[in-house]
Parts: sequence; structure tokens; C-alpha cells
Amino acid sequence: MADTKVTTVEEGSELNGTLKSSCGVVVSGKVSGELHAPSLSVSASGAVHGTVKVSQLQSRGELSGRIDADTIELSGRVSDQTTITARSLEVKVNGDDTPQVTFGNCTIEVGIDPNPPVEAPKEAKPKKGGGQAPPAPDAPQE
Amino acid sequence: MAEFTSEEVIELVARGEGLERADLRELSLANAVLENANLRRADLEGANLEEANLRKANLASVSLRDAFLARADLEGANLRGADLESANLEGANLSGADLSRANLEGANLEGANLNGARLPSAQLIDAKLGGASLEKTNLANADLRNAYLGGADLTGADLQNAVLEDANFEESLLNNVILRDAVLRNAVLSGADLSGSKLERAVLEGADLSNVNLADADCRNATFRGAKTTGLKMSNTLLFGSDFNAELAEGARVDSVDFSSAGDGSGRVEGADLAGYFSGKAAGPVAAAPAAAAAAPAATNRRYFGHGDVLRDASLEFDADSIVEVDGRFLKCNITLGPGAQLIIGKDGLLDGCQVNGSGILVVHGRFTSDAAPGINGAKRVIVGSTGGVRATVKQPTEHTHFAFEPGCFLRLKVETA
Repeated sequence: MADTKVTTVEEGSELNGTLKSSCGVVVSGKVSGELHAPSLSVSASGAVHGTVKVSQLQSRGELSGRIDADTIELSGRVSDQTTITARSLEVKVNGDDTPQVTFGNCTIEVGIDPNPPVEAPKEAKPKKGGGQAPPAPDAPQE
Repeated sequence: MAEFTSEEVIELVARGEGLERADLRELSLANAVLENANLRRADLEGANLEEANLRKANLASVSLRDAFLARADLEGANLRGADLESANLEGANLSGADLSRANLEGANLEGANLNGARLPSAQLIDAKLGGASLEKTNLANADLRNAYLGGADLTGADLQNAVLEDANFEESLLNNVILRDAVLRNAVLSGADLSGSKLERAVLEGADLSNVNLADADCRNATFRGAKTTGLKMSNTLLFGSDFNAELAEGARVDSVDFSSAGDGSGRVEGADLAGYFSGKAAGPVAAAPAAAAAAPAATNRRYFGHGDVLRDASLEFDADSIVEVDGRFLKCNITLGPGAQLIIGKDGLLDGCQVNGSGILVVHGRFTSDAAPGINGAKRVIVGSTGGVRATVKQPTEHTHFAFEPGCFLRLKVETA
């Protein structure tokens, strides 16, 4: 069976700065800073604080900062002042009385709004001189 | 070409020497004594280990693709992350073995003993487990799509969150099995005994449940749409929040079911009264027949707002444990949910500009948008299905809201703590 290469930040290790990896990253320790990778897995003992940009994110640990991923599977904790942006987010239902994810004060933006709110059209201010507005410079002339 | 002969392998193991990462492909080790052997990450692809003794062997991350392990003894072996794709393990003893995240796709495990084995997150797609013994086996999060488990004994097994689509469990024993959140879509369960099982939120859509025994089973919030239910036996079965309806009850053998949220018998409905219960539910609580309502207290706590219903600028309060289903539109309404009350927004339902308060449960398959701060205040649970969308500020209670999101949902949430 072929080994899949991963970058691992083991429990007890702490990394500050920028981590860019072309293979998946597993964090059981603590990463503070920027993290770019195809995939990120944060274990229950792991914590990632800062800016994360990955395709796939699976977290059972602690996240804070700006998290950007295509797909996210989330449990564990999301700290205050965190923004999560994703195309798809999955948080499973927990059978017992404890939440699967504990969210602090944070913002979650997932998917494309199929029905974006329609802004009320701004009323056109009447021109002092009246009459019609001139055509835009690149508008086709009739 | 293997780097050791069979004799060398047996001798090295007997001397207690490790064979980590060794190339042992196609080796014939039938009947070999390899107890406690360290074969971690070894390549045993296509090896013959028929009736070999591999008790408590370290086979973590080993490759056993296409290996022949019929009647091998693997009791207590460590097979974490092992690749056993298309391996033949017919009649093998895997009791107490650790197969976490192992790949067993297409493997033959017919008649194998997997009692007490650990297979969380294992891949068992197309695996053959007919007649296998899986008592108290941990299969949480495992993928058993299209697997065959006919006649298998899964008593007390843990199949929480498992993917069991198109799997075949005909005539199998599934007593006291944990199937919470499991996906059993189009699975064949005919003649299976699921008495005492936990099926909360399980997806049983299109499943063949003919002659299945669901006595004392907990099916709260399960989905049964399109299931075959001829001869389905229900007795003390919990059905709160499920979509089990009159159509599905037809042909089923129902002694009694319970629609209470706590599953404490307070929503008990006898089989003879079930049709009345459903007709009352379908017509709404006002039209519910008094007799049916008396027999089924839960029915009085159900509200349904259908397509075309529009409520504007209304103030609504729903009691504890009530269930409110909305397929219509609520505009600028103020809704208070009692403890445990469920507000379910159907696929076509819309709550626009509303505020939901109280420690209830909000389930969104349609759309919830609110500019109020907060739009959702103090909810115990917020569940957004794959077709659902929520744009709102959620203020959590002190003990935090339980969130659940299905892939495909749309969210613009600002979450605040108490």
C-alpha cells in the first residue's frame, strides 16, 4: 500500500509563522500564523490560530482566525473572532447533550446564496436641469 | 519477488524478530505460527495465510490485498489502516481485532468471527459478511455500501453514522444495535430483527423493511419515506419527529408506538388507534378526533402550515415539545418555542424577517432569513439540512446551541455567545 505523505505537527509541538505544504497537514499540536495546504486535519488535541487556506479541512480541535476551505467537516471548538468561509460545511448531529461544535462569537459563510436579498432600487435624484441623463460614454448610440 | 522464504519468516518470528516493511508478497504461509509477529507495514499482497496463527500480531498498515486468509486466527491482531481489499477472510477469527480505518472493500468475510472487533471508519464497500458474527463490533462511521450481511449476527454492534446504502441485512440479527444517524437508504432489511435498536435520525428511505422487527426500537427523527413496510412489526416503537405516516403504517403490524419527544410513553398510540392518530395529524390539531387526541397527547402539540399559508406580523407561542411544520411563509413573525419544541421549516417553507426565541429546536430544510439581532435567540439546536439556507444572527444560550449542518446547505451566520 502506498504511503500518503503528510506534514505532521505532533502533540506538544508549537509552530509560529507560515506553513505552506504541497501535501496534507495533520495538526495535533499548535499552529499560529498562516497555513496553506491541500488538506488540513486538526485532531482533538490540536489548535490552529491564524489564516488557513486549504481545500479540505477536518477539525476536531480548536480553530480561530480566518478559515477558508472548499469543504469542512467540523467538530471541536471555534473560538471568538473567527470567520469560516467554505463551499460546504458539515457538522454532524450529536446524540447526547453535548454540542458537536462549540462556537464562540464568529461568522460563518457557506455556499452560494440561491436567493440573494434584493436591495431596494435607489431613487434617481432629479437633475437640476431636468431632462434625461446623457447616455453612458460606451453605450451604443441608436 | 519476496525478500524472505516462508521458512525464514517463520524462524524470524519464532525468534521474536520484527519484519516491519518486509516484502512478503505471494508468500505461502498456510498454517504458519506467526503469533505476536511484528509485520507492521509489510507487503503481504497475494500471500497465502490459510489457517495461519496471527493472534495479536502487529499488522498495522500492512498490505494484504488479495491475500488468502481463510480460517486464519487473527484474534486481537492490530490491523489498523491495513489494506485488505479483496482479501479472503472466510471463516477467519478476527474477534477483538483492531481494524480501525482498514480497507476491506470487496473482501470475503463470510462466516468470520468479528465479535468485539473495532472497525470504526473502515471501508467495507461490497464486502461479503453473510453469516458472520459481529456481536458488539464497533462499525461507527464505517462504509458498508452494497455489502452483504444476510444472516449475520450484529447484536449490540455500534453502527453509528455508518453508511449502509444498498447493503443487505436480510434475516440478520440487529438487536440492540446503535444505528444513530446511519444511512440505510435502499438497504434490504427484510426479516431482520432490530428490536431494541437505536435508530435516531437514521435514514431508512426506500429501505426494504418487510417483516422487520422494530419492537422497542428508538426511531425518533428517522426518515422512512418510500420504505417497504409489509409485515413490519412495531411494538413500543418510538417515532417522535419521524415521517412514519398512515401510508407506511398500512401493511405494518403495529401493536403500539410512542410519539412523545422524551420517549417516555406519554405519546403512546395503540395500533388500532393509529389511523385515527394520523388522520388527526394530517388535518391539524383543531380537527383531530377527540378520542385520538386523548390516546395520543403528542397529536395536540402538532401544527402544520401548508403551501400557500402566509402569516404576517404575527406573534406565535408554541408549548414545550410541540412540533410545528412550516411549508408556507411566515413574514415578520415573532415566534417563541417552549423547551424542546421543534420548528421544522420544510423544503418549500420560508421564514423571512422573523425572530425565533426560546430553547427549542429549529430544523431548516427551506429558508430562514432575518435581519433582526438576534434572529434566532436561545435555541437549543439549530439543524440545517442539505436543502436549507439560513441568513441570521444566532445568539446562543449559556450552554451553547447544538448546531448541525448538512453538506449543501447555505449559511450566512453570525454566531454570538450569551
